[in-house]
Formats: sequence, C-alpha cells, structure tokens
Amino acid sequence: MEKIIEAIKQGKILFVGEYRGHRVETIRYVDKKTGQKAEFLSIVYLVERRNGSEVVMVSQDPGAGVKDAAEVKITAQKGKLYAFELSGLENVRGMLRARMPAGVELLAA
Amino acid sequence: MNKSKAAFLFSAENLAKTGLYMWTFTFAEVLDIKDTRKRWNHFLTLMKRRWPDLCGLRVFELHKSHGLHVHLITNRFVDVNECRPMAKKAGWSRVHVQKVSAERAQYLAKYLSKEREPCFKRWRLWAAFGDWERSKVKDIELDTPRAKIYRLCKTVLGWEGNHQFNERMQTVETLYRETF
Repeated sequence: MEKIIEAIKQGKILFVGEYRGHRVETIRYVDKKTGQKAEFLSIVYLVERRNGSEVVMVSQDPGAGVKDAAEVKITAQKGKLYAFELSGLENVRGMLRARMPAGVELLAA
Repeated sequence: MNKSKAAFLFSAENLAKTGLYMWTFTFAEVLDIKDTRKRWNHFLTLMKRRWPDLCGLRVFELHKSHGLHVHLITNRFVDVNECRPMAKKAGWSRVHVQKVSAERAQYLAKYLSKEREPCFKRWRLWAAFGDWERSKVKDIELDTPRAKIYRLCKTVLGWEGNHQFNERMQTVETLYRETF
C-alpha cells in the first residue's frame, strides 16, 4: 500500500482492479507480397473492476530486451487486488482498454 | 503499431537498401492544410521532373504550433542547392536534409501512431512516390489472437461486407476474453 501511495504522490495514474489472469501474446505483421515481417510481444492482463461489472484489458510492452514469451515472469495471484500504472486508457466500442508503461510492475493493493 | 505503420516500416526498409536521405520542408507562416497539400503536390511534380528516378516516402505531420509540414525520405542524393529554388517556386520556405540510417527512418513512423486529427480524415498520412517496390496496407496481414478469432467467426458465421461491424467486434472481444 505504501508503494501505491508513493506512486500517487509522484503523480502516476493508477487503476485498481482484481487480477483475473494474463497472457503473453505475439503480434505479427506480415507483408504477403514481400514476405517481410515484424513481430513483438505484448503482455495482456485481464482485470475486473471491484464491483464486478466490467472487465478491462490492460496491455503492456514487456520491454526491448525481452525476445521470448518464456522470459516474462508475472508473480501476481489470481483474485487479488492490484494497482496498474496507466499510460493510456480508451473506450473501444464500449469496452475499456488500458496500457501500462514498459517494465512497470504490478503493485499489490 | 497498425497495418499502415507496418507497411510504412517495410517500405522504408526496402528503400534503405540504397541509402536514405531525410528531408524536412516547412513554411515560415502557418498555412491552411489544404493549401499546404496543394503546394506539396506542386513541389513534388517539380522534383520528379528534375529527377525522374527519385523514389521516396512522404509523411505529413501536423505540428502543435507550426501547422502542417512534410517529412520526406529519398533513396538518392539530390543537391539541396538545386532543390531550394524549386521549393521557393512552389511556395515552401525552409528545406533541411540529412543522410540517415534505416533505423532513423523509423522515427517518421511515430507520426503514424498518433491519433489521427479530424482534419486528416480520408487523408493518406504517408505515401510513396517513384518506381520501386513498396509495401501496401492491403498486403499486410495481422496475426494476433483477436485477428484469428475474427477470421474464424467470418468463416463459421459467414460474415461479409461491413454491416454490423461494431456488433461483430463486440462478439470477437467477448470470445477473446473467454480465452483467458
């Protein structure tokens, strides 16, 4: 909790919700003509708001040094409350999607 | 990242095989964006007449206080002293050029990640010119869990055209969340 208060004092925007799970996804863009490809990893957290009414997808870039999904270690426990530092929040067709800065850890609430 | 940005990066990579030059064209005063586009078309026509084999990519950037300006990456050396009178003729003020690496060209892609300004509706934020093999947005295929679910639904549910797009995307999103 102290870490959360400290983060708030630093002006960071936090979103608190119940951690329901996460997945490391590989996003690939392929040019069908030339065969060029670009791929990067993204961590997606499934977070439920405390009143249980809404699920928010929080995505995070694992950082430039991470090349493999197995390298990503998340120690969060399902069903517990965590604070997610946000760098962006948008409503896409009535569904909330948020972004976290790269390399930032979840804060236990 | 989106498909347009991916196509731009692939195109820049192709263009970079022969070396890149990055140009910035700006005005002394802030102009209406339609007027800027007209002046850009005029200037590009003059450049292509003078250097017919010139190939490149241009990106429009709307600056916070300086209005619209143009960034350009080209594949060959062009004498800037010869270029400046042309720019002046087409109504441009400042011309700056420097040799860059392919990685540096990716800097221009950052403008493509920004949220599109309402005045850019139906505009091409970037475009290629000259005769060279560039990537097109229609050739870019996205491979993500959401895209896989969409393609599967399209086959199974027989989705065609664009009608009820929002409802379709909500279905995809619900199914995607179920996979966690």
